[in-house]
Amino acid sequence: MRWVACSDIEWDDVDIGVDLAIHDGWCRDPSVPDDVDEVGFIGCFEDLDRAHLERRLRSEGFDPLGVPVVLLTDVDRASATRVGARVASAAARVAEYRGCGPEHLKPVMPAVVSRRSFLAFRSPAYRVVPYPDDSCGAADGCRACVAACPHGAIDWSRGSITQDRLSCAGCGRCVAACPVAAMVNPSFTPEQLNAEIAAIGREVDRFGVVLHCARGTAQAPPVGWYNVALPCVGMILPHWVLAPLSLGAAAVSVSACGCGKEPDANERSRSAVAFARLWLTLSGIAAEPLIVDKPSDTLPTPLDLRVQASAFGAGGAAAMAEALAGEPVRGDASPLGLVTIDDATCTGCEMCATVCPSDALRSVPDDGVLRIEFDPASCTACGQCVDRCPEPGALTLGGVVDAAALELGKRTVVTHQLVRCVKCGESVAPAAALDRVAAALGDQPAILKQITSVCLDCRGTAMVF
Amino acid sequence: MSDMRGTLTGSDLARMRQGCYRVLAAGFSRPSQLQAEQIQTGLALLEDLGLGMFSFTASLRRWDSALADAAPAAVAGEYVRLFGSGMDGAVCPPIESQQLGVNLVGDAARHAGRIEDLMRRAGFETQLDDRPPDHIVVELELASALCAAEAKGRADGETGREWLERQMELIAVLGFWVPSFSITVGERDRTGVYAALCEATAAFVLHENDLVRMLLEAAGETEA
Repeated sequence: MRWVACSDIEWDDVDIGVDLAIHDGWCRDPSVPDDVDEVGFIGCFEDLDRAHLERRLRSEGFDPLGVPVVLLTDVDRASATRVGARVASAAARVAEYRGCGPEHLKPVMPAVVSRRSFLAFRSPAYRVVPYPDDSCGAADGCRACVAACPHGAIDWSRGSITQDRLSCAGCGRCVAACPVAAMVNPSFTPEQLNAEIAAIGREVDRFGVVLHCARGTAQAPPVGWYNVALPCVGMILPHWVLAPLSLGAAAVSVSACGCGKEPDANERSRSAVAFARLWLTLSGIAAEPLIVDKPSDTLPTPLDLRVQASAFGAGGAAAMAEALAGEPVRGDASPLGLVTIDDATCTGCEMCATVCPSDALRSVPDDGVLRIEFDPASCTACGQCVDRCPEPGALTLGGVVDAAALELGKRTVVTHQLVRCVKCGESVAPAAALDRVAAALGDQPAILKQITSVCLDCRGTAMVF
Repeated sequence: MSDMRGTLTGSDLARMRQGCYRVLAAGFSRPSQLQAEQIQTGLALLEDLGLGMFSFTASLRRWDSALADAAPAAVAGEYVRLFGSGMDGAVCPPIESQQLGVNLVGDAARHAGRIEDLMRRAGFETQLDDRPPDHIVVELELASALCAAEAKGRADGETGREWLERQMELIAVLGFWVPSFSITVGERDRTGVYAALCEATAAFVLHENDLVRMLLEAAGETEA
């Protein structure tokens, strides 16, 4: 990869071991070399016109999201180690970029400021927005992203998600809320975040990570700390706070939301950080030097935390819980949940299993009984089961990270007897569900008998008197 | 058109969009030497106008590249197979009412009537043609004509709102059926040319849906 760098940096003193071409004043007028397939840029200006650079890249046939741009506004430019780490992490992040579709790019235009300005527009710029992929559970009724969106940009209609891209602010709450990681922001995937942090670890012996909003201006952190951008800190989940520790970082800090567009972002990130601290504490690890409010000049010894899966990805919370193996941690910010079902109230309608997007709840008909099974490792506490359960109080969801429950694995949370068809012997429905129907149709015995005695297949061909 | 850093006039933007609709409509027309030349010329002109700054550019270029790589006879044969005969199960009628699978009595007429109504309100006349009004070529050509009218209006000092509202009406129609049509063609096309064309059309329509909404907001209140 050819790196094009701005001449305002004293490159003679900073050798970062890459193929570097230095262009005078590149930040003021960014140019794209026409003789390379892979290119990256190192700039120094805060006011580099990214939209202009992206237009030029697009025009030259590059996908701007696939081109690393390192701005050294928050880095000590005299340190080859720090500049090298930033360049390596940007390259690693881009190497994990898997492309994006037109649905991920929303055009943006500055507001009209004068009567005459309707005659002229700024050249188009684009902002990346999340969009669900094929694994979306909307067809089964999941609306976790709809509930999470603070901008009213997502709607659920007849089994599919519709998105008003112009209303989408790209805050990423839907990405964090999606129980199956179907909502994708192609410029902030778990793989990219993993790669970025791991690359810093390869360049630097001991480092801290500051998670900050990509939309705001990042403050320069103390020596040894590196900024890692997320769409907004309001989307951060507790296991994301811990994720850098599993990738070699000695400490983590979450900066305040910098864009000012998400009023509750700081409250949400504080809640996630508090949960992460409690999680560490209940795992027998002192949280304070590892998760800090403000990066300090000293870094603790890195925690030897080995997590089986990417802590930023789907299943990351369960993998983190298994790695930490601590006491149960409860709280509203919990990324995992435990479901209990009251067998006296539950009718076995299977709505919870139908709507559960991550298959944490599954209905298993087995030899005359219907079992509802629960897998705690798959439950993200999204609350879809509680929202859709037609029997008030039948299902309870608690936000809790419980390593012991995860170790126990799948379990049956309720069992219902199935009523047999009087004609063919196949299952009709759970007895409790038929009792519920009987209560509603008690004054119509003929219809009731027809519905409760024969299965769906026989109902069309047999009359029961 | 202006350079990529500065501004572009509303009129130029409308003309650029007009050209995109036109060249896409040409892509769905019956293949011929003349049609191929028109597409090549159209795409080259659009590049000169600054097409490269838009997000849908890559998909248009992929189509251009697929068209250049494919044998004309194969493209002509595939056109008939996909959009005409439906041979080998490749049934992809480029017609809104057929793509949506509506088969209730009067539904096809309702879809066609909606487009004809829009044409009449915009002051355009329909010519006798072998295509129904809800054919993709007709809808794209109509969108192109609406953009041309907007460009003229803007050049005359208007906000273009009247034309943008009609465009939005048509884009809502295109946005409803072109994405699924694009997927169908993508699965069945053997040459890659029509899959790329449909992908470019779907990407452009999606972009238009956002852009025209923004332009409408920028145009302000309805003109008196």
